[in-house]
Amino acid sequence: MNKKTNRRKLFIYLFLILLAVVMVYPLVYLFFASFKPNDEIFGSASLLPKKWVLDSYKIGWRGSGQFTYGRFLLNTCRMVVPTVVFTVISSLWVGYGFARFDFPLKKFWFYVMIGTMMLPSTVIIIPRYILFKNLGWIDTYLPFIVPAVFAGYPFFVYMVIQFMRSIPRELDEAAKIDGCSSFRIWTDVMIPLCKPAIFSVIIFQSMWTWNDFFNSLVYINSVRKYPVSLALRMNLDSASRVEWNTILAMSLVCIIPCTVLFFVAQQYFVDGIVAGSIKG
Amino acid sequence: MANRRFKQIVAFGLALTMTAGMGAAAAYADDGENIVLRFSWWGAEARHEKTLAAFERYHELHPNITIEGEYSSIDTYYQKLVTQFAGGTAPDIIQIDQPWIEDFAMQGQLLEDLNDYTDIIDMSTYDADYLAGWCMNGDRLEALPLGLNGYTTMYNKKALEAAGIEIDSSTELTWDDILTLGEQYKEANPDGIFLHTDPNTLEKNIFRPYVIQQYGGYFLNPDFTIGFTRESLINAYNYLIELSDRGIIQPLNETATFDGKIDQNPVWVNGQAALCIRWVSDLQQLLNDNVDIGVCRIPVNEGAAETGINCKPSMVATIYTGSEHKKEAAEFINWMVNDEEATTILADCRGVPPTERQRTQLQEAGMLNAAMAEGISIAVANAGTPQNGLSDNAEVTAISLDIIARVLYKQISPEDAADEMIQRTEEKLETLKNS
Amino acid sequence: MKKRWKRFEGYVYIAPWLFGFFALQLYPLVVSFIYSFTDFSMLKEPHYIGLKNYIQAFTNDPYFFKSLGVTFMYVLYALPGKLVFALIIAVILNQKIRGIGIFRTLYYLPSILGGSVAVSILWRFIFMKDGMLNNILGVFGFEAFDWIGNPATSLFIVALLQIWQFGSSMVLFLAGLKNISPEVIESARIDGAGALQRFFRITLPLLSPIILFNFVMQMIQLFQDFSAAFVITPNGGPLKKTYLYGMMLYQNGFQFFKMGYASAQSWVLFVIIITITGCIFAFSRKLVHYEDE
Repeated sequence: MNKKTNRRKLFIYLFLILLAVVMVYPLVYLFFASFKPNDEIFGSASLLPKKWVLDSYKIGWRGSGQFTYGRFLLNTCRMVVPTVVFTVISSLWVGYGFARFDFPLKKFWFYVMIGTMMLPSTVIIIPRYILFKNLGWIDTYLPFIVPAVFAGYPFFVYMVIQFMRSIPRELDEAAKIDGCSSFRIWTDVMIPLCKPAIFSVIIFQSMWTWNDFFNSLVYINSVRKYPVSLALRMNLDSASRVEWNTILAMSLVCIIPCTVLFFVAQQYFVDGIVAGSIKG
Repeated sequence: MANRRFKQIVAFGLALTMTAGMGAAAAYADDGENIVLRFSWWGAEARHEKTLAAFERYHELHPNITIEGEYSSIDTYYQKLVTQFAGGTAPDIIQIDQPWIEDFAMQGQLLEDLNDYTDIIDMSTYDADYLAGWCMNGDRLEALPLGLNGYTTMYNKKALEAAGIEIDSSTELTWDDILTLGEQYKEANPDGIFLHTDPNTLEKNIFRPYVIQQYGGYFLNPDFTIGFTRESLINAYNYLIELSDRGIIQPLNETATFDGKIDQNPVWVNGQAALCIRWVSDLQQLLNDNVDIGVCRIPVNEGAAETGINCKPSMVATIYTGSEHKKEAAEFINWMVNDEEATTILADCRGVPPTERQRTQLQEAGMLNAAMAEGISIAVANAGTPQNGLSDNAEVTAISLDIIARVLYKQISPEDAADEMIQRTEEKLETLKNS
Repeated sequence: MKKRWKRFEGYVYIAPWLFGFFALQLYPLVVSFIYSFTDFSMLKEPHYIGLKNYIQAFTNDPYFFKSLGVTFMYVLYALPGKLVFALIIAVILNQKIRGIGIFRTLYYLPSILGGSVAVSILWRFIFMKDGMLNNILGVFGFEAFDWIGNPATSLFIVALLQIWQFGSSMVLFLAGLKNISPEVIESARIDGAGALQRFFRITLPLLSPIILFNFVMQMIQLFQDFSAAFVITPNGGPLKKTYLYGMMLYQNGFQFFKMGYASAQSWVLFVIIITITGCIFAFSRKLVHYEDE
């Protein structure tokens, strides 16, 4: 028995390592490419640089000369953190409404909500821009944050709905019999049981807002307020010489925060087992 | 424990939100005396740094005027600008690409008529014909050039030398030369590519000059009719097939991945390609350790009606009609193009400068790239018809590119291709005319 | 009285969304619908032209059906690939093995990179003619093949980029698996169910709400996506083999000044997506298992 599990474990490890190599080799390649001069980045497929360029991170960090990446990273956090926090709260709130209550027109509103995701954003950009301009939100992070306050990201609401619907109803029935209000059931029963969903919302919303290029492009004018997604493309020009190693270097630096966040958050998935066993 | 941390995170997030919302309104607040001008452009680090340095100097000279730079990369600059026009939030001074003047002109009056600012901006330094040819929308002067540009042949001295082919800046190639020299090059360097292209270059810098050289004039006429003829198209398609079949150019398959990124193609990076017909402004980007660039005129067949060389400005400065500080914007543009100190600060960060005075100043100071200056003077000396913005219409270009691809994939004969090009272009011109 | 109020209690919870919908979302949606019946160019006053845009799309646009076909193929390549892959990996990663967190993070890394410019350089390097893949295949004696440039394979290579970024679907499956209590599976094991049986009889049904969610969301996003294709083949490739619908919309709207036309095309796509989604929802009633029913 023990021998069999060991062999099974070995097999799993082998598989995981092999897959990890396939998945991550390209990123390792990018890492080494950030130390190559342009000729090598585009001219050869070898992994290691022949000529090491060591200052690409230092030069890349300078950004445009006017603002450094320190500034751009801070800007991104100022945009991402509130958006994520409000998305978590509002999606749990609205998702709870759809998952646990019956009310007139519920199906209708649900389909309307999902429907808002189905129209390509290209054609909404202009009217939305004009709306946000009239609200005075241009060149602020409000076009990201305010929709989060009002559960304007249906992806997350629907996700919370699906998670809540896989929680047995007996749990809230029991709480109801104990005299809990629906609000208390939300705070004391639902939220603790939705931990994996909450962490998924945090992971996705931070990553998406972090990487969001097209919306930032449209709403943010001042370079001083640029998030990293804009900053990374700031120095790309078809007619000037571009040192690609600095751009690759900064692309890699900018995925570090999301990676760390993911590594920390994924441990909470393990906690989920504890939460899940409540219902047993 | 986890719960408490969660609450802390929430509180922290709320605090951040409060700060994020503020500060926005303060940015553009003028108090009557202190004026903030917004200036947008695209470019890379060198241009950003020099332009910002110029703003700083201008602020020292005019303490009540602060200029905010809004800079980004070229690929999405257009979308952003159009969105800002739609919202009425475009910057005071806008750097645009020359063909956009006509694009925007069809959409209403978005750019100021600079004829109204002749008392502020000294335009005598510019060549009057050049302004008339490139910066007018009807009788409105809507832009001032910031740099010169033109088609040129750039050759990699190292690759040619290795293959024993001699070309210098006085060489006047014909399209037939390209075929014969190309085969000669191929013999010396079987893995090499003689004429380096991408789909866009093939259309703009090879196909179009080849077409235009046969009759001379516009690609598309200002009265919304086609300039090209069926015959000129057929000849050009046949020439492209010739280039492709003989292996003078890389197959479209392989260059498509590098569309608009011609400098990143390994063939060029590794010094395996010999020539490239492009804008002079691309020169610096195409340089690398394996490439030493010389320039000469683009190929023209003997007896051609004209050279088809486009000599448009590389980028132009405009003032937004919605600006609240048009006078101040004009004053800054005047300083930017006419002041000696400004020329020293900005140098050639927008290519070869447009006025004689700027060029002499930079040349004397040794601040002008010699190959670029030479490329411009060759192009200007051989300039063809100043092609209008209509000819650069994005949709017509897309149609033409698509047809060329199908010709090279042998999905359509040159004759049918010419018919389709004429029919679809005329259809598009019809809608443009009626709008 | 109290009972009647009770019926509307749910509205307390969906109120923020309702408010946001009417205040922020409805206006742009309605406006874009109106634009689809006009010649709106983005900057000029729009004129009403009736159904002309819709008629044009269906009868006189050489790219409309082509692009629609490309997009369907793209969804067909990327959607099952991404989901099946994500599900299998999630099940494997859902074990108590030392260092599992590292593996999860490594597999998730490509998703974090998103549509960064670095990806375009990377993908070219793997799949172009002198690229990494051909170097490896060359060892086994295969001839070099231009994966991205060749019209037969280019779309698949773009879809592969999506599949490589299977991380977010994987995370959702992982989160869903954590909600399945180990006791249920354990008791099945005691009853003598094999690993495959346990997976199909227990795990899959209990995970079905998340599978449905992943399927629907990924499908909606893939139908509109063009960022992956944009970084690899900027103009839809030589024969428009990667000319995705989203790319066509973007070109029509922002490059060709035909925002009215792009709006009409968007609403056509909207109808297509909502029809498919409706079918999936109807079909899923038999397959998806909810604990609250």
